[in-house]
Amino acid sequence: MNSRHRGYRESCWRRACDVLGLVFLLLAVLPSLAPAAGADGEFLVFLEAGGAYRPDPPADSGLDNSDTGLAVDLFYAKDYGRMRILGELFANNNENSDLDLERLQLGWQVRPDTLLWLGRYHAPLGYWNTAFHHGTYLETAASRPTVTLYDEHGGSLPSHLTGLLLEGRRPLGDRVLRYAWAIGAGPQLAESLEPVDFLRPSGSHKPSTVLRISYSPNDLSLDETGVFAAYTEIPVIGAPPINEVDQTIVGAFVNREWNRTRILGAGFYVDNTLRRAGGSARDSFTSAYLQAEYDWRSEWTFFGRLEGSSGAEGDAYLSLLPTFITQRVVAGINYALTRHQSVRFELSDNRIDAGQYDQVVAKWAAVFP
Amino acid sequence: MGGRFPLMARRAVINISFWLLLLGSAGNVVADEGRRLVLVVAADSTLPSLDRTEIRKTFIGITVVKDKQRIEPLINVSDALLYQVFLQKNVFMSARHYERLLLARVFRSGGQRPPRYSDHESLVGTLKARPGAITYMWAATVETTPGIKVLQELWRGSIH
Repeated sequence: MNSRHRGYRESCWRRACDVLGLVFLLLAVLPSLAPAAGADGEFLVFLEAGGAYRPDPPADSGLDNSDTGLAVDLFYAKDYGRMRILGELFANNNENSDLDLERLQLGWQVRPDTLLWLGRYHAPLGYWNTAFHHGTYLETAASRPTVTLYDEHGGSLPSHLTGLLLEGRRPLGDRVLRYAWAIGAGPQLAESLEPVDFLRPSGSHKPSTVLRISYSPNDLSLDETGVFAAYTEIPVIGAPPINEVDQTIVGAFVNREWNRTRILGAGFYVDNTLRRAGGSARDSFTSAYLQAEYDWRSEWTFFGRLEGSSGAEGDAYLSLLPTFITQRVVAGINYALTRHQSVRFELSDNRIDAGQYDQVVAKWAAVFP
Repeated sequence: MGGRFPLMARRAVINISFWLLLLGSAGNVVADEGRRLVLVVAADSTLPSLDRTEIRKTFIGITVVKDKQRIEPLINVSDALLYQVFLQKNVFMSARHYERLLLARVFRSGGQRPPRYSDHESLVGTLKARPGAITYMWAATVETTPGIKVLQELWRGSIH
């Protein structure tokens, strides 16, 4: 047996152990939390399992022909009068198999429509990051747009902050104006962006702020159109001579539903100043996505997504994150198996700095109870 | 004039069948027209009636306060048809969309989804125990359940 074959077997064995570990974790945690949630509070378990196949990934891209994954997201929320707590624990068995305390927030209802949060939370950057994040069942597609990938899993923008978050809404008749202002510690950049980690505190984190303002034409739906802006100082570890990236983001997003059709999309303009000992360099790129969904016979949803970027190929900041997809066309179908379970199949044509590749993704997602 | 039955007998069979059919369908029509979906509260509740938007808001998970009482919606899933009619005629969405909307709101900002009850007895027990609690039932069910009352009619019509 050659060393490559042995390495592959060991890798498979490690993944199998990870999956078993996740299952045991779930079995250990669920019974203890479920009674508490039944009495009061909201306890949700999001599960996902899936795989991707790439017939011909570009050489030097670091992408394998195939990969599989299993993930568990445990969510708990409870109100105590004007106080609200929210916690979310995420575990997966991907290459960097890990356990993350995704969110841990303590909120205070300042006014009936205003909440002040303290803790680690999802940065209110665009729509996807706060609406879906690890709640995969809530998404229709099997993959998420590259610009919305999580910071700690190869994403290019800060998706978690730790500090203060002010969220509010102001009714305008049937319409609603919403706002969110976050100020906290952002990520550092090592092999990937690394946000503050409550379970393994380490590293260097500098200030970040995000402001989002949105408008809903109807308070009774999730329709929302908005703008956002963010500024983050990102310390860089292990990529000399760059020692810091000062990142400014501005953008807009939309999520609208008409009967059986839904459109959601966002555009991001990202300006980075890469600081080094002898001076600094500036580079910027734009990335956008537009996803359309159509419900057919209630259980079936067809979807398609276009992702595009400008200035991303060869961008000085994105060269530190080489799997950023610069162009992508996605088509797929989502089938609701039961009230809270669905499967999705998706085909995509992707372009990264290293070249072009096709991808097939199949994913099962569920939420319990 | 062939056949085993004389003409008179055949006419009688046709006439009887016609009247039986007519009576049967009339019965169904009466039963369907009698379907009334109502909003229900505890018998001692002082809650005033709610407008359509307030009902939709509260069942979607948005806090509604009426006469200083916080409305607490209870989702009645003890009868699949009742649940479906309530969502279609009052919330204006399918069960799949409704449940996804509730999940999405909670996942984003915390809070809790309205509690669901598949058992009639525990639903009624909670309704009586919690001030501000509301739910929906067929009017006929309310008439046979002590300790609760109709707050207002939500829908009336026939079901095909």
